[in-house]
Amino acid sequence: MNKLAGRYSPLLVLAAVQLVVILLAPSTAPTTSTVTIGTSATSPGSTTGTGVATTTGPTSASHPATAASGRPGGSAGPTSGPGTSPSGRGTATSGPVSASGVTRCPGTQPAPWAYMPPCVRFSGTNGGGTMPGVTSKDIDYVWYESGSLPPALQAIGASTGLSYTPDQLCYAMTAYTKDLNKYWQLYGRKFVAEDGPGSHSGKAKGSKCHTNYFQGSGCGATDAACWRADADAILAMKPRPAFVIGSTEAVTPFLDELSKHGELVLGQGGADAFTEPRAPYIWDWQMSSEQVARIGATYFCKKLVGRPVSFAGSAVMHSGTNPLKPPTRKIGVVYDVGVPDTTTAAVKAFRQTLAACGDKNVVALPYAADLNQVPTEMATIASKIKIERLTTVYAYMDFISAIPLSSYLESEGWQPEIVISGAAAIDDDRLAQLMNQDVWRHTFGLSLTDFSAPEHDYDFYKAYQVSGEPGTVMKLANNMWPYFWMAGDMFQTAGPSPTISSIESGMFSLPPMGGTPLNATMKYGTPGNRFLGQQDVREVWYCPTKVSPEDNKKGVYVPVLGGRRFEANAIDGKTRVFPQGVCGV
Amino acid sequence: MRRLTRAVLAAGLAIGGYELVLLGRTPPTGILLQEAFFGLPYALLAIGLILIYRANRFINFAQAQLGVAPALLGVLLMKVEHTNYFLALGATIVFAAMLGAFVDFAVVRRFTSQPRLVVMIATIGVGLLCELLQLVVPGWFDVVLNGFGGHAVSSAPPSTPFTRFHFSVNHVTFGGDMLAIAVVTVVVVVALNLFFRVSSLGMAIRAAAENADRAKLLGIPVLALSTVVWVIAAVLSALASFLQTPLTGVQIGVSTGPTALIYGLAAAIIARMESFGTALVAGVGIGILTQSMFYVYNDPYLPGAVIVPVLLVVLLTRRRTLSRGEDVALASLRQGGEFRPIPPELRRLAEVVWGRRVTMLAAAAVLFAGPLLLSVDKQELASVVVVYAIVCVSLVILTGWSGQISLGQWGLSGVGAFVAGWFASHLHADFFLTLIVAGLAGAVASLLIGIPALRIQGPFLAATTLAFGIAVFGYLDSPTYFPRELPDVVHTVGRPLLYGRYSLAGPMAFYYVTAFALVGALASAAALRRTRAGRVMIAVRDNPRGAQSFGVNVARVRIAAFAISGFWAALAGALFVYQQGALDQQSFIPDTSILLMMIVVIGGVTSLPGAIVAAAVYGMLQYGGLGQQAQLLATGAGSLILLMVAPGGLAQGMYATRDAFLRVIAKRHGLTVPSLVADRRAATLGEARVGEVRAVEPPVTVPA
Repeated sequence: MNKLAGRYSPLLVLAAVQLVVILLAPSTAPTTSTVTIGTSATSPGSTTGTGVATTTGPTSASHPATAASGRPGGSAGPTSGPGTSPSGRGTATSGPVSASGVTRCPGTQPAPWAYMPPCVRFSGTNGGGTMPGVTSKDIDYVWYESGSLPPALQAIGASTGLSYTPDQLCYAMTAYTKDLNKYWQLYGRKFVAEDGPGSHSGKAKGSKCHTNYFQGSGCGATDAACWRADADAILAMKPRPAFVIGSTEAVTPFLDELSKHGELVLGQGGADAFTEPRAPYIWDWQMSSEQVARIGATYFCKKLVGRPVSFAGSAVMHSGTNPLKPPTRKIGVVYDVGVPDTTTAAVKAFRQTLAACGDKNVVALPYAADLNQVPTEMATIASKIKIERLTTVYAYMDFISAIPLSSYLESEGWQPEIVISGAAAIDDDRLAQLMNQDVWRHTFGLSLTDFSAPEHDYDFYKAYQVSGEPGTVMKLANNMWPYFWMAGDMFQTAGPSPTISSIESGMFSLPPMGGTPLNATMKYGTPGNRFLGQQDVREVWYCPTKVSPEDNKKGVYVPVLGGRRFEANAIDGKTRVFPQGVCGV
Repeated sequence: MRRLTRAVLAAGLAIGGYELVLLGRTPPTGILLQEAFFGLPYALLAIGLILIYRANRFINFAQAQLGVAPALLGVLLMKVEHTNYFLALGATIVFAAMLGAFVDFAVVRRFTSQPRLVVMIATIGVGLLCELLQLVVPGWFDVVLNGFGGHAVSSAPPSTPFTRFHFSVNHVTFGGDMLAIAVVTVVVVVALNLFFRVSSLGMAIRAAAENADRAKLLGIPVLALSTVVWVIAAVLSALASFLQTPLTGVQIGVSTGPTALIYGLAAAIIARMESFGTALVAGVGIGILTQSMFYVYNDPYLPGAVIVPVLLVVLLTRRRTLSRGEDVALASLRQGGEFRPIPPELRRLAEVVWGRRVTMLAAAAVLFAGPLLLSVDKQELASVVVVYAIVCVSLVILTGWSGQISLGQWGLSGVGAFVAGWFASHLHADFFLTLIVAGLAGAVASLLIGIPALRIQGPFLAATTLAFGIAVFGYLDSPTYFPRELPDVVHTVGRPLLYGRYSLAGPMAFYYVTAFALVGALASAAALRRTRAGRVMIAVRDNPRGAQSFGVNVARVRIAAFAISGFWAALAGALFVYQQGALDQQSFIPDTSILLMMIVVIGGVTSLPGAIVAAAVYGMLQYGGLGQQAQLLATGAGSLILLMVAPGGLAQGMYATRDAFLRVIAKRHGLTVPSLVADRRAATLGEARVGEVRAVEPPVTVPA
């Protein structure tokens, strides 16, 4: 016993010392009490009233996002910002208008594109270096090119004409940066793209064109450590960029890491539940998944719930108790629970909304988008759809999983109405052409953005042409251009002395923009969708025999009412004609 | 009669368990039949695994990947060249057969005399190369994966002669393509049973599987038979993949992870790695169980999590019988070459003492100063690699020294991460306290796996631990199930102020914490190895019955190994959470566990320095800026070549270099060190014995 005690006595002494140290000087995350003037203080309509947030405790203080946004605990702040009422349009109190030397001019900034902010003129000197990456001359930014597209998606990209070369990326970036510097009021500054350090240099890529961007490490989809490390490399750049464009390739850990360190980032925020607690650091032009589900619920409530099924295949149409009459709609929602799960809450809200408008029996059909498991999951879901006699499926899902679902529904001989949500590119003609066409011909619903006109009608194309860069722009630039106009809008509306606070209030002060068939309505600051711009949708139906202008192949989403866009409150209950059989309408 | 009784009992148990798990909410008959159909590919996978196991006595981790490239070839023939379905199927089978034969010739035969653990890990390398091949095949058809020119292939499923055929059972319609899988699987099972029971070739394979040496003595061409088995296994894999394409669509570049393997592996384990018929039934049963759970509970992650209890129940309730072949295989799985310490004759020589000091100093310099040369992101990733290295240390203790194969070690890190995430984010606990509690939680979790391990060994334990890793990923580290415990954007994991004073926020500051933890793990492991407990562990690994006869409590030793190993793995997971400042569920994918086992074997499974060096090499490959295809090539081919050249892993090379230096020193001092020359003499004599006449180097002798 003594021998044992003797052998382990140093360890016991060490443990005892450590215990004393833990009691006297615990090693925990910093516990500072900070009083931060939240950005919401300058943003009208803040529910916090004073806009002053007292953030106490390690978690809030360690997260500049929650501290700066003035919302202890990261809960949602303003519920009635300028965007919620028409009177709020362009009347921000801390926007550029109130700044010295800034005067209004009529209309919007002179450029032939949709998302231009109100016109302003500036004479005088700007505020200089008012935030990291901003000097009196430059606004430094980083374009992040992940290089992480998995082979499965690369193959689909190649088959649908959505691939691009480093040169094409380079030309597009150069073109759009030129446009920004020419057409937006930047108060004497210009946007300058920063090159990634060392192996992250984007300038070294490409054969004919060389421009600055940050070449990511090609992190695997599940390698969160790698994504966070890439974000850390950006944070360590000198000068630290004013903002990062993570584009549609950015994943959750990357955005989280940047926002956690107070970096402004434009990228695929995806969900309000993700961007709001990190406010005001993550912005995107796309609609939040919650908003998609909300609009979807409104669409269902006003047009579909409680009504007889109209657009399904014959087996479904005759599946009621009286085979001569179409049955009343029975709805299911297929959704990806994802890692991390950002959709379950949205779907729950969707089902609650439908319950409130009369359908309490919406069937939830979740799946995990693991490519190894998707086929079996989709087969089970397809069978469940048939066994439960679901007439209408809300496809709140990704397009890759929709391919086997459509195959299995076909083999089940059950062709329900498929209502697309518009999320996750499911409303793209080229991708819809991959589905089983006998099933997909019963598809209609909501489209967020899609091509139903030739490319040259779109802003991303026109902006490229105007810049004078060679050739034609790559097709995926339609996801790239929005981040550039967002950046332009941010730094114009923030005024001559941009800060994260003035950027937030400036963006919230912008009036709704767009709203045409080709350009969705963008409005920031609306409750439940404050940092994710898109507000409206188009109603479409799928025609498998009509040629798409995107690729000149059969299969196209045809817009209803000429592509008119609807916000949630503008969706009416009138059932529009859904062509049966003939798609030439 | 006894077999029938056992079968009825097993069926009763399975049905009872099924009803219990589903709480009596059985899906409709049509769905059950459909689920049974989904189990058929698992059965094909299981049969392939059994074949390889029977012939070679190791788990073929590449089984699911072997057939993917040949199947893709067939599908592209149909879609690009518009080849007839049956011709495309024929091409698939031929390509698969060639691939299977090639793997046997080029890889498996090179490892004939190596421990089964090494060749099992080599199959992971084979799997990676198969994934690479999958990316190469489209190029043969001028199909581009990224870029322009060439053909574009739509992901839409190809139509087959069976596509239009349908039949219905209780409102569920079954397509001809699904039926084709069923028919092929049943035909395969019947054919293989007949083949192994009736044909002389089949019987020869069985004989070779039972006792290869004896079979050789009887004139059976064991190596050629192994090729036949690999051909069959590859064809089975390709068939499963090809037949599923009309249902799943064309999938290029899809990585076949452990989740896909585990169902087939579980079916094979239930079939005791023996019976094709049982594998078929088990595959179907697993299909029914997992899809029923998905159907009833609407939760896509539950099916993966349910495999752990299923395996535990099956394995623990089974009477333990091992054939002679299995016994030998288990011993070979446990076998880990020990690297001898510096001989006592040389230990005190000044050159050796200084050599050791310089080596230690150099290692310390690389560990502590090396990352200073790296960029910020690489410094952050260096911390991650060090965390992996700590898990590797835990694997050396468990697998290298104790002989217990764990493919779920990163799952234990997931347990540590869960506890650390909870303590740090919600309870704001002290950093050190959190680490210790997380480590203890890992030790307890490891014990829970370790107790069944007293009855479960080798591949059975490997499958169970793999399933454990899947369960931790899908369940424990999921914010869906533990939203109040896991960190989120409000309850974050902040890097601490050490003793309220020193910030660990910077990449290097935290790197040093992980580096010190690694040093702690190494010191603890080295100390363990030097003590009686460590020696007993090795004894139990090498000869459990012998150790038992000396009064060693084998169970206690094994459980202790699990606990110690679990502690360090979980502590590493806790450090990982602090390093990341978050708990990203996807960070704990089960693939990492297999990767870590691969690292340890490549390092030299019993060697601590080898494991550390291998972890560092892996870090360089993973985060050194290689493209995806280059990474697959480097990891897959690199690991194979290394294990072929040095089955003892990197450590073998390191210790060989050390011994070469020691021989020079011994010669300079005129010392005779038998342990330094004995191996070489034996090897040289062995070569001379087989006919090649060589000059034999005389031993170093001490001048009078």
